[in-house]
Amino acid sequence: MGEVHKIVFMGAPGSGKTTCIRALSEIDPVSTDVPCTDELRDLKETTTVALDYGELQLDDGESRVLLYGLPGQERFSYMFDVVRTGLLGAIVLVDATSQDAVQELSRTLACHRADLRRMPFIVALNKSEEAADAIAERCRDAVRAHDLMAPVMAVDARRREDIAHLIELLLVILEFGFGFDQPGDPARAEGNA
Amino acid sequence: MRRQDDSVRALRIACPNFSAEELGALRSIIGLLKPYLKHAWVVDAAVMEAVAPTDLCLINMDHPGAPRVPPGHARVIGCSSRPRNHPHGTLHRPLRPPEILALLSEAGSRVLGERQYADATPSLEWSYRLAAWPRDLDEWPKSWWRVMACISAEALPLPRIAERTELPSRYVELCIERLRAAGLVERTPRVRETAQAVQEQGERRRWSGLASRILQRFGLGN
Repeated sequence: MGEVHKIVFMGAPGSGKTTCIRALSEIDPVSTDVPCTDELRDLKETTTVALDYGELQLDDGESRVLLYGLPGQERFSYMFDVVRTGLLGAIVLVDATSQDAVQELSRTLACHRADLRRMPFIVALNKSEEAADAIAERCRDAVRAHDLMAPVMAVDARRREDIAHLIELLLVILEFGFGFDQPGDPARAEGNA
Repeated sequence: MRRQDDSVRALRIACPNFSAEELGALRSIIGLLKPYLKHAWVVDAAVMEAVAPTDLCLINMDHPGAPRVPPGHARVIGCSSRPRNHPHGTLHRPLRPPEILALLSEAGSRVLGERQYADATPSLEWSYRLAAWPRDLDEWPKSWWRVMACISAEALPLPRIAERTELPSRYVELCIERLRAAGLVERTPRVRETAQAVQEQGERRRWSGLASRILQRFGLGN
């Protein structure tokens, strides 16, 4: 029986979660996009209402990394419970072109703050061709304001190498920042699911 | 005897990739500044850790072979003919007396202050914790990501960071020095761990191997 690990992509609608999963997955991604019916209609044609799902198969042929994209809307935040066990870390995506980019990030951080304190995560600034530095700085401020610690990086979610770069950093933080099991430390052991 | 005492007290500057002319100029500048400096300084062309610890390391950033690993315990200062193209704090080349005076005055006080503190509290050591990730993370060596990750969750002393990251301690020191220069790391004193205590703690690295297996899927594995 192989190991199963998970990486989750979170963020507001339109931030690029579905695109990331499509860029990485080795299977046809499962997507639950439906036509937008609310104010999101002005932003994009469809939005994810359940979750996106993709997979990476590891070299032993049995172990897998499951890739989840969680819907950005706060009313779906309970779905994090579905993916929590075996979670390696999270990538929080931000649509840099959104006027509410930083507020949306703050909402995601506030909603998942307790989980994000216990695992590695990265803030990924997507679609950030213009004014990237200014938005990145405000994103850093938002991370600090929630008493969290994470790097902020600009990416193009359509580029597989950009997402692979993010995963590489995430795994470094996992291995060297969260990867030391000390005797009598139940909080750490709990994360080793 | 007096001469020997002076050399013991002198603080050492390593200049591993400066030309002989520039070294001569620096020695001349230090000679001129001697009446204004509280501490004696000597210049080493190369890193001479075997002889004595280096207190300050000047790196010629314009030199194609700029060393990646400076001497242990040394504060590292870059020097360039175009300092604005390099991190804040880079000195102008050719070296100028006012800048050298400011640098050696500050560095001398700091080094001796730290020595006195260490002498007064021999059971303490510094531990470091990341205050914020660098803005230009892509510009930093990837192996330094390990150091930052290591101190992102808890404050750790240099030996422990080197052990966890499996990087040479001097390489870790260089990373910490750069982080400190950028104001990205907090430093606090803590009781020094004995080697036995470190062993008894029996840390076990989780996730070791998983990362490389996943990265291989992206063609990024070692």
